Parts: sequence; structure tokens; C-alpha cells
Amino acid sequence: MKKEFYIAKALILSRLNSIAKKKKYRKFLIPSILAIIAVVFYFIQKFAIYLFGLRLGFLPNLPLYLLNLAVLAMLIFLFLGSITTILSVFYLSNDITLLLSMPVSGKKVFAGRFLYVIAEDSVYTLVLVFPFFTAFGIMNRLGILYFLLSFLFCIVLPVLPAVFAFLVVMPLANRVSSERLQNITMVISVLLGMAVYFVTQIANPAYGLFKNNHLTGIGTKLLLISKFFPSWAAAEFSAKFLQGSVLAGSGIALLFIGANVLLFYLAYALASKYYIKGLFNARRTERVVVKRKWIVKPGQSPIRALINKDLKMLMRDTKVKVLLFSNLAYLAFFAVAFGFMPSKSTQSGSFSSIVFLIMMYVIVDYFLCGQNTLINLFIDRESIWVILTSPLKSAVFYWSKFIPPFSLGIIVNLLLLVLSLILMGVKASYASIISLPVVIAMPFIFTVTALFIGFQFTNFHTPKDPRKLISGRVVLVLAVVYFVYILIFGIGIPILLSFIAKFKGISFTFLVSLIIFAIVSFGGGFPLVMLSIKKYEGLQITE
Amino acid sequence: MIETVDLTKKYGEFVAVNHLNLHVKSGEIYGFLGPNGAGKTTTIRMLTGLLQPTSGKVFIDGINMEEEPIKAKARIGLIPDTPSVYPKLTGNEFLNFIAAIYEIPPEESVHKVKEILEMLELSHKADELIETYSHGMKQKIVIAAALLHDPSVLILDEPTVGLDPKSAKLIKDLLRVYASRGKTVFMSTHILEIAERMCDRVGIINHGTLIAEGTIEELRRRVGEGEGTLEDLFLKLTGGEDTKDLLKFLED
Repeated sequence: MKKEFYIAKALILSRLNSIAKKKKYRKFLIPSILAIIAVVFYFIQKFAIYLFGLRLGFLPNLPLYLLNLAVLAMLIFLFLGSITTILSVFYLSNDITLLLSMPVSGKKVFAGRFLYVIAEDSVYTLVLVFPFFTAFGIMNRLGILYFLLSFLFCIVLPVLPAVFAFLVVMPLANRVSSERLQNITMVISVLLGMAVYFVTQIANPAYGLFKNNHLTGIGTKLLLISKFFPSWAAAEFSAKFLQGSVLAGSGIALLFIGANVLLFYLAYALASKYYIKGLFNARRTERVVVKRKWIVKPGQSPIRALINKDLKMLMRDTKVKVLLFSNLAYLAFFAVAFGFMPSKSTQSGSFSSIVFLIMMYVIVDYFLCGQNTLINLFIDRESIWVILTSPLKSAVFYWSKFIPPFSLGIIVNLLLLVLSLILMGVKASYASIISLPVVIAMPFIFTVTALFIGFQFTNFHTPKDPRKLISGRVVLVLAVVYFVYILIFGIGIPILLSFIAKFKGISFTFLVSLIIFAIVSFGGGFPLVMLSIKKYEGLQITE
Repeated sequence: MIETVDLTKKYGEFVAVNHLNLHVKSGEIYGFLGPNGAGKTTTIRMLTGLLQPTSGKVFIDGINMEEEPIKAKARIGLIPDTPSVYPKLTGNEFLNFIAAIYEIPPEESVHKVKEILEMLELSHKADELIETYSHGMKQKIVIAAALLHDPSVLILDEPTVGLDPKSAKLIKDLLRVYASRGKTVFMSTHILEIAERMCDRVGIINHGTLIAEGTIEELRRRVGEGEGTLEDLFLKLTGGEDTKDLLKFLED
């Protein structure tokens, strides 16, 4: 097992180095991580002890339910990330080409990488789930064996999601190229997210609070399936220890640990036969010929050429298509679930119809103008040197990134306006007039904000990981800013306008709406435009 | 013409390029040599406006890069060390895009794109996505893009890496023709044979400082290498004689 450990060790070291980017920080890294882990562990354990101590009359086994829930939540987290983790660690990692040229067998490469995945994921399970076990053990004075077995339980918990993801990705990798593999796995991840949501609803221990007659016949049967989920094993072996059946409890825990070890060996056996083939296959490049009618045409103005280039690249990138597809799915869900159905019963100019219409534009523009602007901006990240060394004015580059998402937002907003008038009839007309300034102001605000934030982070390197089309920092900052925007523009201002409409009538409210959004657009938006253009002028490529 | 005046780039305490003074004339092929990490790519990035100097100035055909970057950039063609270009565009589309942002008239650009693709033997791949090209083909499409607007200053960072011998020869011929038309060629390279055979003058940079500059003969005279190769000269100037120890180790 020596080579496997060396491979895992190299991956762990490289992960640690990527966290502590500068050499001088490396010596503090492990102590810092351990200190953070200890603090988080302590607080989660304290929190778990507090929760376990709650006395809820209708739920006598609260600690066991919570233990079950903690393991289940962790499993959801692991399952959701498993496909992309396996894809990037097992198939797309940069060091694989080097390893393939070395005298190391495929199964050793597999085992080394598998150990790495388990080591990384068990940090999460030990920090986030193990405190629930220790809290349970401390409260019930369960003895060292319980702590030891629950520790091992947490270590092997990531095995099932990792093996599952490997069994999904491996057959695909043996058949399709790297590009297609990334696209297919992204779609699978989206579907998996939906499936995991569905399954967790079945396995959710909260359903145990209700009597079975509250569930349908199918629901009752599905509830029985939940007994086979690993989260149940956690609760069951802890319950046995609580009842004093140490032997039965240990048996269940060891059965669970043994089953996971067997799962690993199953994947190991399959990997020894099929893993290497997939590695070579994933490195194959497919020949793609583009039809003449789709090409970027010669003789365009710089701004048109830039927009044309961006649109072509976006249309040909299936990762982007998947993102757009999920955006549209959310929008459709929002429109049907929270939009037109309940709004049919609202009154003309009422509080809810104004709030609903404005909120709808805000949510739609958040997706269409916010996310798409960043995708459109960072699609240049790999080749930004072409733009930066060309005699292109910064304003031209800026507006080329602004126009497509802004136009898309305006078009969709106008379509929604027409649709709301058709579906809600006269009831919507009053609210529509008041929300009219939002149709233009919101796409503008969302687009210029996304561009401003995007321009602050000048890391234009190629993303190695399919999850990182847009850098995490940008997404985080934008999410916080947009959350504030939604509170202000989607909730605060619509409520204010609704109150004004109630007392002052349509014309006055429209005027107020116009003034508010004009002030926001000119006072807030244009300075952001100027600052972004200025930032672009100082854009540099550094290592 | 390229001119730098006391060009300096610092990253914190580390000085990547230290008071660099270069003067590359029109019609000249200038070889920029140096060991790894000497400051070659940083210099090229400052010459092309990709990186702002900490101090000092860059002039392209007499135009100050800091004060009039658009004008200066219009005169430059860059061939970087890594040919990263839009993977989801075809070769044809990429060159048409370049023609548009350099504002080449449409009739001229159609003709030029066709001609340059034929010259670099890329016509058969013109309608395929660049992501499917080999490294050498990507390098060629970048060369095509750099030449398309007929720049007066051509800056190349390791231009022949990844090219097959035939394409490498084509590039060398092309650079000669280019310089003979009065254009400036500034080239960083590790391949000393290319520098020796092609460059009118060479500059050797080490630890961010220009340690020697002149024709190969001038440098030989200065270092007292007599009939030695540029490789010997280079190793002597950059302290690369340590390689002798390495050779001894390998022999043992």
C-alpha cells in the first residue's frame, strides 16, 4: 500500500499548499486548521448537548432523531458534491498524465485518490457530525467503545457517496471525451440534487413525528425504505448502546463500517479493470467542425465583434447552457409556484399585486442580468491577453459585456409585463404602470453591479474545476450584494409603493416609483460604470 | 522601435526587472535571453501593456505606453509563450475577430485572413474549434493573429516552442522578411541557436538586470570567449557553469 499513500500524501500536501499560498504561512497552516477544527467542534458539541437536553413532550427520542438528522444532512452534502469531486480528482486532475507515465498501476492511482477524497471528506464529518455522537456519548456516559465506533463511523461515512459517484462517472469516462464528460456529469449533478431532495424527504426523520395514517399508502412504504439509509444506522447503534446492549450496538456499527470497506473493495476491483481506460479516453479530443452559417462574420465594428464573439462562445459552451437551463428552470418554478397562480386572486393595485410584480422583475433580473453578466465577463478569462494587448478602448470592452445581459433582462421583463397583463387582466394594469420604471432600472442596476464586482477580481486564469466557472470570491460578494438588493428593491420599495398607492393614487405612485428608480440608476449605477471602466484601464496580468 | 527608460517592476521586496534600458531599432531582430525567472516574461508584459511598471517608461515607435496605450498597442503584435486563445471560436472566427478589434477594413481582412491561414497551413482547420487544435496549431493561430494587422513592432515570447521543424523554419524566414521591411522584432528565446543565427543584437538579462548587450561578436570579445558558442557565452555570463557539476554527476 506504499504507493497509494504517497499519491494520497502528494494530493493532501498540494491541497494544503493551495490553502496557504505563501510559503511563510505554511508552518502555521496545520496548527491553525487544528485550532479552527477544535473551536468549531467544541461549539457544535455544546450546541448538540443543548439540543439533546430539550424536553419535547411529543418527541421522547429527540437526541436520536437529531443524530439521525445530522448524519443525513452530512450525507446530502457529500452526495451533492460527490460527482464533481470524483470527476475533478479522478479524471481531470493535472497530475494524472504524469502518473500514467510512471510505473504505477491503475488501481494504485485509484486507491491513492480514493484515500485522499475520504481523508478530505472525513474532516467535514469529524468536525460537523462527530460532535453529535460525542455529545450523545457524554450525556449518556456511554464509554470509550461508543466513542471509538462513532469515530470510525464518521471516517467511513464519505465512502458510500464517493463509491456511488465513481460508479456513475467511470462508465461515462470510458465512453466519452473530457468535454462531454464534464457536461454530462453537470446535468447528472443537477438531477442528483433533485433526487437527493426527494429521497431526503422520504428519509427525513421528522416524518417519524407523525402517525403513519398521515402519510399515503406509498408514503408509508417509502418510510420503511428509510430504514436502509446510513443515517438510520447511526441512530440505531447509538440507541442500542443507550439501552445497554453494547454487543448489538457494536454489531450494527461494525456492520456499517464493514459494509463501507466492502464497498471500497468493490470499487477497487472495478477500478483495476476499467479506471485506466477512462483516463486515456477522457484525454481524447473530439473534432468539431462549425457550420459556416454560425461563424463570426468579418468587417464588424469592435463592439459588435466582441458581442458576436461572446455570444458564439456562450452558445457553444454546454457548461453555460446547463447553467442557463437551471436558471430558466428556477424562473419557471418561481413564476408558476409564487407568481401567476396566487396572483389571480389579488385585487387591482393592491399591496400583493404591486409587490408581486416588482419582486418578479427583481428575481428574474437577478438570474438573467446578475449571473449571466459574470458568465459573459469571465468567458474571456483564458484569453484576456488578446483584449488587453489590443488597441481596444476600455469603454468598448465594458459596453460589449453590458449590452447582452442588459438587453436580455429588458426583453424578458417586457415579456413578463405583457404576460402578466394577459393572465391577470385589468387587475395587473394598475400595478404594471407603477412597476414600469423597474422594467428598465433593474436590469441596469443588476448588470452594472455584476460588472463592477467582476472587475474588482482580476483573476483571469483558466478554471481547472468545472464548478469554478466563476471564482468563489466573486460569487460570494455578489450573493451578499444581491441579497441586500432583493431586500431593498424586491421587498422594501414595493411595500413603500403599495402604501403610497393606497393613499395617493396611481399617478402619484408612478411618479414616486420613477423618481426612486431614476435616482438609484443615475446616482448609483453610473458611478459604478465609471469605476468599472477605470478599473479595466488598470487591469494587469500577473502570476 | 522599442525603447525602455529605467524600466522597473517590483513585487513587494522582490525586484523582477531592475532599471532596464533597451533601445531596439526599426529593422532589427533583437534577441532577449536569460535563464528561467530572469525577468524576460515580465519585461515582455510591460512592453505590451499587460503589466504596469513600478517605475520607468516604455516607448513603442516613440509613443509612451503609459500615456497613450491605445496608440501604442495598435503598433504591437504579440506572440505569447502560451497560446491561450478562445477555445470555442474557430480559427477563421478568431482571426476575423482580431481584424475587427484592430479595425482592419472588411475587404482587406477577408483577403488577409485567407492568405495568412494558407501561409501557415491552417486552411484545412479554419472552421474547426480552436480547442481541438494541437499545441503547434494553436501557436500558429496566435502567430497569424499577431501578424494580421501588420504591426510595426513584433514581440515574441518563445515563438518556436511546440512548432514542428518546418513551421519553425517558416517563422524564422518570416521574421527575417519582417525585419527587412523595416519592422522591429523583439524575441525572447531559450534556443540559443536561433538567437545566434537570427538576431542582429542580443541582450542577456539575469535577476532582472541587463548584464550584457550587443552583437554576438561584441559579446564574445567582451567576455573573452574567442570562438566559443553563444551557449558557452551565455553560461559564463549567467553563472550557468554549475551545469558542469551536473554533467559530472551524470557521468559518474
